[in-house]
Amino acid sequence: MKLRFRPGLRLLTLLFFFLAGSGLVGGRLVQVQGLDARRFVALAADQRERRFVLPPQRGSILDRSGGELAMSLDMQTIVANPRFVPDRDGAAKAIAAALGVDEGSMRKKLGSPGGFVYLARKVDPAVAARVKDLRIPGVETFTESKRVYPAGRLASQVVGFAGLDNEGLEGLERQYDRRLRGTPGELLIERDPTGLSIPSGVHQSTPSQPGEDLVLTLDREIQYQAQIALATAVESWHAQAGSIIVMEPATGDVLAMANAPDFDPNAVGGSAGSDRRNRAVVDVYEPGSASKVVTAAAALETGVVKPTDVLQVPDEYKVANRVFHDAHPHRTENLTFADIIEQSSNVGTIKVAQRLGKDRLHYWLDAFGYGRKPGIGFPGETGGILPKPDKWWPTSMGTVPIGQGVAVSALQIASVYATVANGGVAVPPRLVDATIDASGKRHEAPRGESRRVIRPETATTLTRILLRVTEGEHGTAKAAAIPGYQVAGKTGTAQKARTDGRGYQGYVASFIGFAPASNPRLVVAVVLDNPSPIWGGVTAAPAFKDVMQFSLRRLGIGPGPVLSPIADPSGSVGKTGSPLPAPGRSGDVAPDPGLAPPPTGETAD
Amino acid sequence: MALSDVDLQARVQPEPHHYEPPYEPRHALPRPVLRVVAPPKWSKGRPGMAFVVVSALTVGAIVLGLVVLNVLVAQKSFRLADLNKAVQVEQTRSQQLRYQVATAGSPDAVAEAARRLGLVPPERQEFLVK
Repeated sequence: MKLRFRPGLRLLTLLFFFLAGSGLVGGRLVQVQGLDARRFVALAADQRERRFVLPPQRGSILDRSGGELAMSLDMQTIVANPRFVPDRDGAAKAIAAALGVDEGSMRKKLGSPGGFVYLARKVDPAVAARVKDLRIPGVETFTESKRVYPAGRLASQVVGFAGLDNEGLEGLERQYDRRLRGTPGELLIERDPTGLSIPSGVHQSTPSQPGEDLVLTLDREIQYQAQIALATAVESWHAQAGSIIVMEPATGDVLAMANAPDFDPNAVGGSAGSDRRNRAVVDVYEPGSASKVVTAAAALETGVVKPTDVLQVPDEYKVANRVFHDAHPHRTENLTFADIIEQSSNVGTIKVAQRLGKDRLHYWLDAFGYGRKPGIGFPGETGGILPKPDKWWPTSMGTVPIGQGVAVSALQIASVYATVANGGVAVPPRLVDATIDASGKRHEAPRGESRRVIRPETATTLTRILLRVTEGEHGTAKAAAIPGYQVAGKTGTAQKARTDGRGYQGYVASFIGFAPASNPRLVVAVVLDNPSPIWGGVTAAPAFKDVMQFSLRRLGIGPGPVLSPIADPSGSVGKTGSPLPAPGRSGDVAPDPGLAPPPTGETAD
Repeated sequence: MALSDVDLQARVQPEPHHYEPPYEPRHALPRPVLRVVAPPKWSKGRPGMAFVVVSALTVGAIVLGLVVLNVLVAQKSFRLADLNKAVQVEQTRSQQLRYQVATAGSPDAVAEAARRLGLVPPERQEFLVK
């Protein structure tokens, strides 16, 4: 049977469907063009446009004369989308051969289920070109910056290193990461369906800002010599480790900071964590006799003793319930204070310290920087250990004056001698001299505030006493003497505290000195961890001589006028006839406002 | 012979000259005076032909211009890409050379080269003082 509709009804039905369809289309139109317009615009843009981050070039790290210690190179990274690689086995074989790597590992990478895999990161452009020439579908290359260290192991613990993604992980690379890193840029381009850039499409580029260059105070020639001398000393004396610091006392500039063992920052993966530590800044040790210079400075500055005052010095002495010995047995002797320092007598030093008392001794240790960070801001920088007087043991008046029971870093002890060498003015040490921004403008690094610690006269007197350590008949460091120059310094042979805090095991040997004594231009500190023999005058002093001699020659520093050692009745007039200038001694530096005035008069315990 | 619908329709339609307008009284409106007007001189051919030709030429010229412009931009873009690539290659080369200089100039390398040449550190040094 045929259905028949009235024409009017048929037209109404059609009209209904037409209006309903139109309504749907219209509604969708309103949704796409109006309500969800932004989303669709974004989707469309996302399909056509692509944003690329333009990584900035990391700044270089240079020595004081512009020699590059760390720099960045453009390398090629090879990636693949395994889904688009037609013959994975064949591709793995060819790529492995081009890269010179194991075929199995390459096959494993190309066999991964994902859509992205690194085949090799930051390889030489020539190597990447070999892979590119294979024209394997799904394999691409792009440029990535790689951190390299052209001087290899030179100052490796100071410079530190950056990770695979160019972020500073250790050393100055970490400390100055923000400044070295730079600011990333951005590139926005419009692409066709094949991924190629549309020439007339969107093309917006914000260039990246390269990081700042870092100019260090290090002199790479002196640094190299320090590392060679240290490696030789560590090997010769079977030491576990060691540090050498070369410093300009007048400016605080650190010219060399060597540590052994060291590591190659170009192959960080193969190094031990302990080898990467900048021991000179982050490790503490009990300085032993090298610390007697502080006791001596305090005693001279406060006037409790004069260089020529005579003390009766037996070879052992009881403080509280403990007996302290000199290094070698001897009869009770009448020694001047200068003799005591020259011979590094523990007993004599303790007796002088008892005249000072613990509060004044603590004050001067604090004034010389014990227990305070030197202020270079290096990651992990230590301030050493200086217990407050109320925490001292009854035996501390026996241990602290001779440098046990307190701890410092090699940098701190170098700064102590730099203060004496600088006429009693402490100048904060510096590792960074300046930064150079992207436009090539140099910005000097701020200098810390200098502070007077002892009077210039005290510094000169102490220098004349310390001369005898290398020149005197009973001096403990004749091996540190440099022909033609006068060297003032002090040995240290200290017991090494166990890491578990239970007593001592082993020794730390050191020699810290400065030259030329009449007008000190350089301070060198040598610290050896557990050498054999244990004596600083035997093990550390020769390394000091090597480094100091080289540094004086390198910087063209002459011997200068001669300074008479303390026992010389002719006084402090140079034998060349010229009156001695106070060595680097500007007497106009204000006392440290942060320090309370020294305590006066106290009964020794 | 059967007639088609068209023929049939043609037969039933009255001839145009038989058309009679609806009746209007003749005295209602004055009859307008009509005259024959000559066709405009510019439309002697088919009317609108010139417009079509000019429009086509204009559109063609514009399209051609755009294509040429696009090709030129594309060419410049490829040239720019090539130059950028060349700059990148030269930058990489410059960096590599800088690295080689820095490596060769490092104290370690210099000391090694000096040793190879037979140089030794001086045993002693002298200062001349006026």
